[in-house]
Amino acid sequence: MNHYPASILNLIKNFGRLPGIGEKTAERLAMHILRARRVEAEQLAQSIMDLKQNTRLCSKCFALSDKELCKICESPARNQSLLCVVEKPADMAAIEQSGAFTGVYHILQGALSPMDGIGPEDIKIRELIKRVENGNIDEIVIATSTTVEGEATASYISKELERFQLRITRIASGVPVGGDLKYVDQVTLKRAMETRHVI
Amino acid sequence: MPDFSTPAIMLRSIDHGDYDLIIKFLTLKQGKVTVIAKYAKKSKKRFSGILELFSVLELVYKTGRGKGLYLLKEASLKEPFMKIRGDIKKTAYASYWTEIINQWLEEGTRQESIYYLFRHVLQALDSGRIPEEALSILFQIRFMKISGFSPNLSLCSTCGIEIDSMEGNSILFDLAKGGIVCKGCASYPSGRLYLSRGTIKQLEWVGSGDIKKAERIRFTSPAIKESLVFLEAFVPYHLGREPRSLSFLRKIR
Repeated sequence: MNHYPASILNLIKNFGRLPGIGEKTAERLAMHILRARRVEAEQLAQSIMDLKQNTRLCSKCFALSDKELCKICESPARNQSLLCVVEKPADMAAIEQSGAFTGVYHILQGALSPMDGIGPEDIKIRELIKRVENGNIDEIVIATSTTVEGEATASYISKELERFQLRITRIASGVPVGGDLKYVDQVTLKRAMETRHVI
Repeated sequence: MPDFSTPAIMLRSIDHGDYDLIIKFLTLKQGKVTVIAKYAKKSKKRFSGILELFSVLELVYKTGRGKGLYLLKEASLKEPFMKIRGDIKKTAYASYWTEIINQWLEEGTRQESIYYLFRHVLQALDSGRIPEEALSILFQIRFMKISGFSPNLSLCSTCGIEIDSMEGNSILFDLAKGGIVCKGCASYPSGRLYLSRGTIKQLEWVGSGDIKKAERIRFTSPAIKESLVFLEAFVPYHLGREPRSLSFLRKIR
Protein backbone atom coordinates (compact mmCIF):
# COMPACT_ATOMS: atom_id res chain seq x y z
CA MET A 1 0.00 0.00 0.00
CA ASN A 2 2.90 2.34 0.74
CA HIS A 3 3.78 2.56 -2.96
CA TYR A 4 0.81 4.93 -3.42
CA PRO A 5 1.36 8.70 -3.13
CA ALA A 6 0.14 10.35 0.09
CA SER A 7 -2.99 11.87 -1.53
CA ILE A 8 -4.28 8.44 -2.60
CA LEU A 9 -3.36 6.84 0.72
CA ASN A 10 -5.24 9.60 2.51
CA LEU A 11 -8.37 9.00 0.42
CA ILE A 12 -8.14 5.24 0.97
CA LYS A 13 -7.83 5.86 4.71
CA ASN A 14 -10.90 8.14 4.70
CA PHE A 15 -13.03 5.75 2.64
CA GLY A 16 -11.96 2.96 4.97
CA ARG A 17 -13.60 4.79 7.87
CA LEU A 18 -17.05 4.45 6.27
CA PRO A 19 -19.30 1.68 7.56
CA GLY A 20 -18.99 -1.60 5.67
CA ILE A 21 -15.93 -0.43 3.71
CA GLY A 22 -12.76 -2.48 4.10
CA GLU A 23 -9.27 -1.68 2.85
CA LYS A 24 -9.75 -3.37 -0.54
CA THR A 25 -13.03 -1.61 -1.26
CA ALA A 26 -11.56 1.71 -0.12
CA GLU A 27 -8.70 1.20 -2.54
CA ARG A 28 -11.09 0.37 -5.39
CA LEU A 29 -13.18 3.48 -4.67
CA ALA A 30 -10.08 5.68 -4.57
CA MET A 31 -8.94 4.27 -7.91
CA HIS A 32 -12.39 4.93 -9.35
CA ILE A 33 -12.25 8.56 -8.24
CA LEU A 34 -8.77 8.86 -9.73
CA ARG A 35 -9.96 7.57 -13.10
CA ALA A 36 -13.21 9.58 -13.08
CA ARG A 37 -13.55 12.94 -14.79
CA ARG A 38 -12.58 15.93 -12.68
CA VAL A 39 -16.14 17.26 -12.69
CA GLU A 40 -17.48 13.99 -11.20
CA ALA A 41 -14.94 14.12 -8.38
CA GLU A 42 -15.85 17.75 -7.73
CA GLN A 43 -19.57 16.93 -7.67
CA LEU A 44 -18.95 14.19 -5.12
CA ALA A 45 -16.86 16.49 -2.94
CA GLN A 46 -19.42 19.28 -3.26
CA SER A 47 -22.35 16.99 -2.39
CA ILE A 48 -20.55 15.89 0.78
CA MET A 49 -19.95 19.52 1.72
CA ASP A 50 -23.59 20.43 0.95
CA LEU A 51 -24.79 17.57 3.10
CA LYS A 52 -22.73 18.75 6.06
CA GLN A 53 -23.60 22.43 5.59
CA ASN A 54 -27.28 22.30 4.72
CA THR A 55 -28.75 19.27 6.41
CA ARG A 56 -30.53 19.91 9.67
CA LEU A 57 -33.53 18.63 11.55
CA CYS A 58 -37.05 19.74 10.67
CA SER A 59 -38.19 22.05 13.47
CA LYS A 60 -41.55 20.29 13.66
CA CYS A 61 -40.96 16.55 13.22
CA PHE A 62 -37.14 16.27 13.58
CA ALA A 63 -36.74 14.50 10.25
CA LEU A 64 -33.70 15.30 8.13
CA SER A 65 -34.35 18.42 6.09
CA ASP A 66 -32.55 21.21 4.26
CA LYS A 67 -35.15 23.82 5.24
CA GLU A 68 -36.89 24.91 8.43
CA LEU A 69 -39.71 22.46 7.69
CA CYS A 70 -39.29 19.14 5.86
CA LYS A 71 -41.23 18.27 2.69
CA ILE A 72 -43.72 16.09 4.55
CA CYS A 73 -44.56 18.69 7.21
CA GLU A 74 -45.01 21.33 4.50
CA SER A 75 -47.14 19.20 2.20
CA PRO A 76 -50.87 20.13 2.13
CA ALA A 77 -51.58 16.62 0.84
CA ARG A 78 -50.55 15.01 4.12
CA ASN A 79 -53.07 14.36 6.88
CA GLN A 80 -51.78 16.62 9.68
CA SER A 81 -54.10 15.04 12.26
CA LEU A 82 -52.50 11.60 11.89
CA LEU A 83 -49.07 11.37 13.51
CA CYS A 84 -46.65 8.47 13.29
CA VAL A 85 -43.92 8.25 15.96
CA VAL A 86 -40.68 6.56 14.88
CA GLU A 87 -37.20 6.26 16.39
CA LYS A 88 -34.93 7.22 13.49
CA PRO A 89 -35.13 8.99 10.12
CA ALA A 90 -34.42 5.62 8.46
CA ASP A 91 -37.64 4.23 10.01
CA MET A 92 -39.59 7.11 8.49
CA ALA A 93 -37.98 6.40 5.12
CA ALA A 94 -39.01 2.73 5.35
CA ILE A 95 -42.65 3.65 6.06
CA GLU A 96 -42.62 6.22 3.27
CA GLN A 97 -41.31 3.61 0.83
CA SER A 98 -44.22 1.34 1.73
CA GLY A 99 -46.65 4.10 0.67
CA ALA A 100 -49.02 2.95 3.41
CA PHE A 101 -49.06 6.12 5.47
CA THR A 102 -50.48 9.49 4.51
CA GLY A 103 -50.06 11.36 7.78
CA VAL A 104 -47.08 13.19 9.26
CA TYR A 105 -44.21 11.99 11.45
CA HIS A 106 -42.44 12.64 14.70
CA ILE A 107 -38.88 11.32 14.87
CA LEU A 108 -37.74 10.69 18.42
CA GLN A 109 -34.05 10.49 17.50
CA GLY A 110 -33.60 7.37 19.60
CA ALA A 111 -35.33 5.08 22.05
CA LEU A 112 -35.39 4.88 25.83
CA SER A 113 -32.64 2.62 27.11
CA PRO A 114 -32.17 2.40 30.88
CA MET A 115 -28.87 0.50 30.59
CA ASP A 116 -27.41 3.11 28.24
CA GLY A 117 -28.66 5.93 30.46
CA ILE A 118 -31.00 7.25 27.74
CA GLY A 119 -33.99 8.73 29.52
CA PRO A 120 -37.11 10.63 28.37
CA GLU A 121 -35.25 13.95 28.35
CA ASP A 122 -32.60 12.60 25.96
CA ILE A 123 -35.01 11.97 23.08
CA LYS A 124 -37.77 14.09 21.55
CA ILE A 125 -40.62 13.04 23.84
CA ARG A 126 -41.16 16.46 25.41
CA GLU A 127 -41.42 17.92 21.90
CA LEU A 128 -43.98 15.27 20.98
CA ILE A 129 -46.15 16.17 23.96
CA LYS A 130 -45.86 19.86 23.10
CA ARG A 131 -46.92 19.05 19.55
CA VAL A 132 -49.96 17.16 20.80
CA GLU A 133 -50.83 20.04 23.15
CA ASN A 134 -50.55 22.61 20.36
CA GLY A 135 -51.71 20.67 17.34
CA ASN A 136 -54.93 19.29 16.06
CA ILE A 137 -54.00 15.62 16.27
CA ASP A 138 -56.63 12.87 16.26
CA GLU A 139 -54.48 9.75 16.18
CA ILE A 140 -50.95 8.80 17.12
CA VAL A 141 -49.45 5.65 15.61
CA ILE A 142 -46.49 4.49 17.69
CA ALA A 143 -44.12 2.79 15.26
CA THR A 144 -41.04 2.34 17.46
CA SER A 145 -39.13 -0.90 16.93
CA THR A 146 -40.19 -4.16 18.56
CA THR A 147 -36.98 -4.49 20.59
CA VAL A 148 -37.11 -4.14 24.37
CA GLU A 149 -36.06 -0.48 24.04
CA GLY A 150 -38.65 0.22 21.34
CA GLU A 151 -41.45 -1.43 23.31
CA ALA A 152 -40.44 0.40 26.49
CA THR A 153 -40.49 3.68 24.59
CA ALA A 154 -43.94 2.89 23.20
CA SER A 155 -45.17 2.09 26.71
CA TYR A 156 -43.78 5.35 28.10
CA ILE A 157 -45.24 7.48 25.32
CA SER A 158 -48.67 5.90 25.56
CA LYS A 159 -48.71 6.58 29.33
CA GLU A 160 -47.62 10.18 28.82
CA LEU A 161 -50.34 10.75 26.21
CA GLU A 162 -53.15 9.09 28.19
CA ARG A 163 -54.45 12.44 29.40
CA PHE A 164 -55.16 13.70 25.88
CA GLN A 165 -58.35 13.04 23.97
CA LEU A 166 -56.85 11.12 21.06
CA ARG A 167 -56.58 7.64 19.63
CA ILE A 168 -53.23 5.97 20.38
CA THR A 169 -52.35 2.93 18.28
CA ARG A 170 -49.32 0.67 18.05
CA ILE A 171 -48.00 -0.60 14.74
CA ALA A 172 -48.91 -4.30 14.33
CA SER A 173 -46.44 -7.20 14.47
CA GLY A 174 -46.92 -10.19 12.22
CA VAL A 175 -45.73 -12.75 9.72
CA PRO A 176 -43.66 -11.18 6.93
CA VAL A 177 -45.05 -11.43 3.39
CA GLY A 178 -43.35 -14.31 1.57
CA GLY A 179 -41.97 -15.61 4.88
CA ASP A 180 -41.91 -19.22 5.97
CA LEU A 181 -43.94 -19.78 9.16
CA LYS A 182 -41.41 -22.20 10.60
CA TYR A 183 -38.77 -19.47 10.72
CA VAL A 184 -40.99 -16.90 12.43
CA ASP A 185 -40.16 -16.43 16.11
CA GLN A 186 -42.77 -17.37 18.69
CA VAL A 187 -43.35 -13.82 19.96
CA THR A 188 -44.20 -12.57 16.46
CA LEU A 189 -46.39 -15.60 15.76
CA LYS A 190 -48.25 -15.15 19.03
CA ARG A 191 -48.93 -11.52 18.24
CA ALA A 192 -49.93 -12.36 14.68
CA MET A 193 -52.40 -14.92 16.00
CA GLU A 194 -53.79 -12.51 18.60
CA THR A 195 -54.36 -9.80 16.00
CA ARG A 196 -55.71 -12.08 13.22
CA HIS A 197 -58.49 -10.68 11.06
CA VAL A 198 -61.47 -11.96 9.14
CA ILE A 199 -60.98 -12.47 5.37
CA MET B 1 -13.97 -27.57 19.31
CA PRO B 2 -16.78 -28.90 21.52
CA ASP B 3 -20.22 -27.26 21.58
CA PHE B 4 -21.70 -26.00 24.83
CA SER B 5 -25.41 -26.19 25.42
CA THR B 6 -27.08 -24.35 28.29
CA PRO B 7 -30.12 -22.30 29.31
CA ALA B 8 -29.25 -18.61 29.53
CA ILE B 9 -30.68 -15.16 30.18
CA MET B 10 -29.65 -12.33 27.89
CA LEU B 11 -27.92 -9.46 29.72
CA ARG B 12 -26.55 -7.10 27.10
CA SER B 13 -26.11 -6.75 23.37
CA ILE B 14 -23.60 -4.55 21.55
CA ASP B 15 -23.43 -3.95 17.81
CA HIS B 16 -20.25 -5.26 16.24
CA GLY B 17 -19.80 -3.98 12.73
CA ASP B 18 -22.71 -3.98 10.32
CA TYR B 19 -23.95 -7.51 10.86
CA ASP B 20 -22.72 -9.04 14.12
CA LEU B 21 -23.72 -8.72 17.74
CA ILE B 22 -21.59 -9.25 20.83
CA ILE B 23 -23.89 -10.55 23.54
CA LYS B 24 -23.48 -11.20 27.24
CA PHE B 25 -25.53 -13.98 28.78
CA LEU B 26 -25.96 -15.32 32.28
CA THR B 27 -25.85 -19.05 31.61
CA LEU B 28 -26.85 -21.79 34.01
CA LYS B 29 -23.76 -23.91 33.38
CA GLN B 30 -20.95 -21.42 32.86
CA GLY B 31 -22.10 -18.23 34.59
CA LYS B 32 -21.58 -15.03 32.62
CA VAL B 33 -20.32 -15.60 29.08
CA THR B 34 -19.75 -13.34 26.09
CA VAL B 35 -20.57 -14.67 22.64
CA ILE B 36 -20.45 -13.29 19.14
CA ALA B 37 -23.54 -13.86 17.01
CA LYS B 38 -22.41 -13.62 13.39
CA TYR B 39 -24.88 -11.97 10.97
CA ALA B 40 -27.42 -11.72 13.82
CA LYS B 41 -28.52 -8.22 12.80
CA LYS B 42 -29.53 -9.42 9.35
CA SER B 43 -30.69 -12.89 10.36
CA LYS B 44 -34.17 -13.83 9.19
CA LYS B 45 -34.14 -17.46 10.24
CA ARG B 46 -31.60 -18.30 12.92
CA PHE B 47 -31.80 -15.37 15.33
CA SER B 48 -34.73 -13.27 14.13
CA GLY B 49 -36.79 -11.92 17.07
CA ILE B 50 -34.93 -14.14 19.53
CA LEU B 51 -31.95 -12.19 20.84
CA GLU B 52 -33.77 -9.76 23.12
CA LEU B 53 -32.85 -8.52 26.58
CA PHE B 54 -34.07 -10.51 29.61
CA SER B 55 -35.26 -13.42 27.43
CA VAL B 56 -34.56 -16.95 28.62
CA LEU B 57 -32.99 -18.93 25.78
CA GLU B 58 -31.49 -22.32 25.17
CA LEU B 59 -28.06 -21.65 23.68
CA VAL B 60 -25.57 -23.69 21.71
CA TYR B 61 -22.14 -22.07 21.33
CA LYS B 62 -18.57 -23.09 20.71
CA THR B 63 -15.11 -21.69 21.24
CA GLY B 64 -14.44 -19.18 18.50
CA ARG B 65 -11.20 -18.12 16.90
CA GLY B 66 -9.46 -15.00 18.19
CA LYS B 67 -10.67 -12.43 20.77
CA GLY B 68 -11.60 -15.28 23.12
CA LEU B 69 -15.28 -14.93 22.39
CA TYR B 70 -17.58 -17.89 22.05
CA LEU B 71 -19.37 -18.24 18.73
CA LEU B 72 -23.15 -18.53 19.02
CA LYS B 73 -24.44 -21.36 16.85
CA GLU B 74 -28.08 -21.70 17.87
CA ALA B 75 -30.57 -20.00 20.17
CA SER B 76 -34.14 -21.00 20.88
CA LEU B 77 -36.53 -18.84 22.86
CA LYS B 78 -37.92 -20.36 26.05
CA GLU B 79 -39.41 -17.40 27.91
CA PRO B 80 -39.70 -14.07 26.07
CA PHE B 81 -41.22 -12.14 29.02
CA MET B 82 -43.39 -10.07 26.72
CA LYS B 83 -45.10 -8.21 29.55
CA ILE B 84 -41.79 -6.87 30.85
CA ARG B 85 -40.85 -5.31 27.53
CA GLY B 86 -44.32 -3.83 27.14
CA ASP B 87 -44.06 -1.85 30.38
CA ILE B 88 -41.52 0.91 30.97
CA LYS B 89 -41.39 0.48 34.76
CA LYS B 90 -40.90 -3.28 34.51
CA THR B 91 -38.24 -2.77 31.86
CA ALA B 92 -36.45 -0.27 34.12
CA TYR B 93 -36.43 -2.69 37.09
CA ALA B 94 -35.28 -5.62 34.93
CA SER B 95 -32.54 -3.38 33.47
CA TYR B 96 -31.35 -2.43 36.95
CA TRP B 97 -31.10 -6.06 38.07
CA THR B 98 -29.42 -7.00 34.78
CA GLU B 99 -26.82 -4.28 35.23
CA ILE B 100 -26.07 -5.41 38.79
CA ILE B 101 -25.48 -8.97 37.54
CA ASN B 102 -23.46 -7.84 34.55
CA GLN B 103 -21.22 -5.60 36.64
CA TRP B 104 -20.80 -7.92 39.58
CA LEU B 105 -20.20 -11.35 38.09
CA GLU B 106 -16.93 -12.60 36.70
CA GLU B 107 -16.87 -14.23 33.28
CA GLY B 108 -17.00 -18.01 33.23
CA THR B 109 -17.74 -18.59 36.94
CA ARG B 110 -20.75 -20.83 37.42
CA GLN B 111 -23.44 -19.04 39.46
CA GLU B 112 -26.47 -21.33 39.57
CA SER B 113 -28.12 -19.62 42.56
CA ILE B 114 -27.94 -16.22 40.87
CA TYR B 115 -29.26 -17.67 37.62
CA TYR B 116 -32.29 -19.17 39.39
CA LEU B 117 -32.87 -16.02 41.45
CA PHE B 118 -32.77 -13.83 38.35
CA ARG B 119 -35.04 -16.13 36.40
CA HIS B 120 -37.47 -16.25 39.32
CA VAL B 121 -37.74 -12.48 39.67
CA LEU B 122 -38.12 -12.03 35.91
CA GLN B 123 -40.94 -14.59 35.87
CA ALA B 124 -42.63 -12.83 38.80
CA LEU B 125 -42.16 -9.43 37.17
CA ASP B 126 -43.66 -10.70 33.93
CA SER B 127 -46.63 -12.30 35.67
CA GLY B 128 -47.33 -9.17 37.72
CA ARG B 129 -48.18 -11.24 40.83
CA ILE B 130 -45.88 -9.15 43.05
CA PRO B 131 -45.35 -5.37 42.97
CA GLU B 132 -42.13 -4.37 41.17
CA GLU B 133 -40.77 -2.59 44.25
CA ALA B 134 -41.17 -5.67 46.50
CA LEU B 135 -39.50 -7.82 43.85
CA SER B 136 -36.59 -5.43 43.65
CA ILE B 137 -36.12 -5.66 47.42
CA LEU B 138 -36.24 -9.46 47.19
CA PHE B 139 -33.73 -9.55 44.34
CA GLN B 140 -31.22 -7.13 45.83
CA ILE B 141 -31.14 -8.59 49.33
CA ARG B 142 -30.83 -12.17 48.05
CA PHE B 143 -28.29 -11.25 45.38
CA MET B 144 -26.06 -9.63 48.01
CA LYS B 145 -26.46 -12.62 50.27
CA ILE B 146 -25.49 -15.10 47.52
CA SER B 147 -22.53 -12.87 46.61
CA GLY B 148 -21.27 -12.89 50.21
CA PHE B 149 -22.13 -9.26 50.90
CA SER B 150 -25.25 -9.78 52.97
CA PRO B 151 -25.91 -6.72 55.13
CA ASN B 152 -25.48 -7.41 58.83
CA LEU B 153 -28.87 -6.58 60.31
CA SER B 154 -28.68 -8.40 63.64
CA LEU B 155 -25.55 -7.25 65.53
CA CYS B 156 -23.63 -4.00 65.89
CA SER B 157 -20.86 -4.17 63.28
CA THR B 158 -18.39 -2.64 65.75
CA CYS B 159 -19.05 -3.96 69.24
CA GLY B 160 -21.28 -6.94 68.42
CA ILE B 161 -24.24 -6.20 70.70
CA GLU B 162 -27.56 -7.57 69.49
CA ILE B 163 -30.18 -5.37 67.81
CA ASP B 164 -32.63 -6.10 70.66
CA SER B 165 -30.23 -4.43 73.08
CA MET B 166 -29.99 -1.26 70.98
CA GLU B 167 -31.97 1.83 71.90
CA GLY B 168 -34.67 3.51 69.80
CA ASN B 169 -36.83 2.45 66.88
CA SER B 170 -34.47 3.76 64.20
CA ILE B 171 -31.22 1.87 63.83
CA LEU B 172 -28.17 3.32 62.14
CA PHE B 173 -26.73 1.41 59.16
CA ASP B 174 -23.12 2.02 58.13
CA LEU B 175 -22.62 1.41 54.39
CA ALA B 176 -18.84 0.97 54.68
CA LYS B 177 -19.11 -1.54 57.50
CA GLY B 178 -21.98 -3.27 55.76
CA GLY B 179 -24.06 -3.49 58.92
CA ILE B 180 -25.99 -1.79 61.67
CA VAL B 181 -24.17 0.10 64.43
CA CYS B 182 -25.31 0.93 67.92
CA LYS B 183 -25.45 4.53 69.14
CA GLY B 184 -22.32 4.06 71.25
CA CYS B 185 -20.27 3.01 68.22
CA ALA B 186 -21.68 5.59 65.78
CA SER B 187 -19.02 8.15 64.97
CA TYR B 188 -19.01 9.77 61.51
CA PRO B 189 -22.25 10.99 59.95
CA SER B 190 -21.43 10.25 56.27
CA GLY B 191 -22.40 7.00 54.49
CA ARG B 192 -25.08 6.21 57.01
CA LEU B 193 -28.78 5.50 56.81
CA TYR B 194 -31.48 4.88 59.33
CA LEU B 195 -33.68 1.80 59.21
CA SER B 196 -36.69 1.15 61.40
CA ARG B 197 -36.81 -2.10 63.38
CA GLY B 198 -39.90 -3.22 61.44
CA THR B 199 -38.14 -2.78 58.09
CA ILE B 200 -35.04 -4.63 59.36
CA LYS B 201 -37.21 -7.59 60.38
CA GLN B 202 -38.94 -7.65 57.00
CA LEU B 203 -35.61 -7.46 55.17
CA GLU B 204 -34.31 -10.41 57.19
CA TRP B 205 -37.45 -12.37 56.33
CA VAL B 206 -37.22 -11.63 52.64
CA GLY B 207 -33.53 -12.45 52.53
CA SER B 208 -33.77 -15.92 54.03
CA GLY B 209 -35.58 -19.22 53.57
CA ASP B 210 -37.70 -20.38 50.68
CA ILE B 211 -38.10 -17.71 47.99
CA LYS B 212 -41.77 -18.54 47.38
CA LYS B 213 -42.55 -18.01 51.08
CA ALA B 214 -40.48 -14.81 51.11
CA GLU B 215 -42.52 -13.53 48.19
CA ARG B 216 -45.66 -13.61 50.29
CA ILE B 217 -44.46 -10.95 52.71
CA ARG B 218 -46.48 -7.77 52.39
CA PHE B 219 -44.48 -4.61 52.89
CA THR B 220 -46.15 -1.46 54.09
CA SER B 221 -45.67 1.55 51.86
CA PRO B 222 -43.12 3.27 54.21
CA ALA B 223 -41.23 -0.04 54.59
CA ILE B 224 -40.96 -0.37 50.80
CA LYS B 225 -39.67 3.17 50.52
CA GLU B 226 -37.19 2.73 53.35
CA SER B 227 -35.96 -0.64 52.00
CA LEU B 228 -35.47 0.69 48.47
CA VAL B 229 -33.56 3.76 49.68
CA PHE B 230 -31.36 1.47 51.77
CA LEU B 231 -30.71 -1.22 49.12
CA GLU B 232 -30.26 1.24 46.26
CA ALA B 233 -27.51 2.88 48.32
CA PHE B 234 -26.02 -0.35 49.73
CA VAL B 235 -25.77 -2.32 46.44
CA PRO B 236 -24.10 0.44 44.34
CA TYR B 237 -21.75 1.22 47.27
CA HIS B 238 -20.39 -2.32 47.17
CA LEU B 239 -20.63 -2.56 43.40
CA GLY B 240 -18.28 0.44 43.18
CA ARG B 241 -20.47 2.44 40.80
CA GLU B 242 -24.08 3.36 40.32
CA PRO B 243 -25.85 1.46 37.53
CA ARG B 244 -27.21 3.79 34.83
CA SER B 245 -30.60 2.09 35.04
CA LEU B 246 -30.92 3.17 38.66
CA SER B 247 -30.99 6.87 37.80
CA PHE B 248 -33.45 6.08 34.97
CA LEU B 249 -35.60 4.14 37.43
CA ARG B 250 -35.60 7.02 39.91
CA LYS B 251 -36.75 9.40 37.20
CA ILE B 252 -39.73 7.37 36.08
CA ARG B 253 -40.76 5.85 39.42
